[in-house]
Amino acid sequence: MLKYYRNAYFVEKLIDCIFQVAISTYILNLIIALNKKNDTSNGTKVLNVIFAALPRFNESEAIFRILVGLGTLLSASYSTENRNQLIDAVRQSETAVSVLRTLSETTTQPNSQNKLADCSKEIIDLIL
Amino acid sequence: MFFIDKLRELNANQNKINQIADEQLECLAQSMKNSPSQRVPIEIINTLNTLLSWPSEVLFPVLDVTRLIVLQKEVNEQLCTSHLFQIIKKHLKPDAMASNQMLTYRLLANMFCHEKGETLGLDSKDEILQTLLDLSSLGNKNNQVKLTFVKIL
Repeated sequence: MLKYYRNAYFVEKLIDCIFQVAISTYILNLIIALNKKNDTSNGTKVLNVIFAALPRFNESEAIFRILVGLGTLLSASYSTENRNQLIDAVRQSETAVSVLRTLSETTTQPNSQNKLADCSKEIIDLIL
Repeated sequence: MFFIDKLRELNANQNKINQIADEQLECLAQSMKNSPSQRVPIEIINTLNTLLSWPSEVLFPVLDVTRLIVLQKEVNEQLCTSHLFQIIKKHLKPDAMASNQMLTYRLLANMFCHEKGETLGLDSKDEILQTLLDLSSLGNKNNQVKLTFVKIL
């Protein structure tokens, strides 16, 4: 019985992880496609989804893909005005800033890569 | 290939309109082994469109096959149309099965790998982004997803 519950727990966790990665991959691929077309005028709509997803996701690969998408959206915007608007929107989102700060302060084993922390720090440098 | 075997099993229970000839399923299985640039027969697209019209309860392996085969350029060009978008919308509704929602987002992510799918992804972004905002907490869907996944296995 215990083995059943342990297996059921792992299946549930696996599916939740897959769902989060699926959503984050879609967001990232959408942002890349928007940048290819020089169309970041819809950046605010994408940002709203990122702000909703970031505090709810706990799968590290999913969070990483969202962060890469966020960084891409902020740094690759084709117009300075548009870029500044997006950066302002992130600065004003207490949730997003809080999540970024928490991730950037995550410490790991020495000499091991912590891509979440590195990515968060880069985004914080962009917005502050 | 596990999911093709599952499709065969589910195909046997479909009504005559939705049933696929075994040769068509075999052709689909072969196409999945193709390199991304290889030509695919037009029948594959017809087969996929019929499979995608199956009931939601048995759509899991169909969506899984579709999200993989859409990585092939020619399938991507022919499948990524407004018709596919209507199917995508149906399985992203808040009350849709969570397992189908999850695979539909995977399909959407894979569509971007070729131009036609990328165009469809960009054209549909407003609706898809709104469905993401409408998505309730992933934790609430877990039990439903788990039960469906275990049943498919």
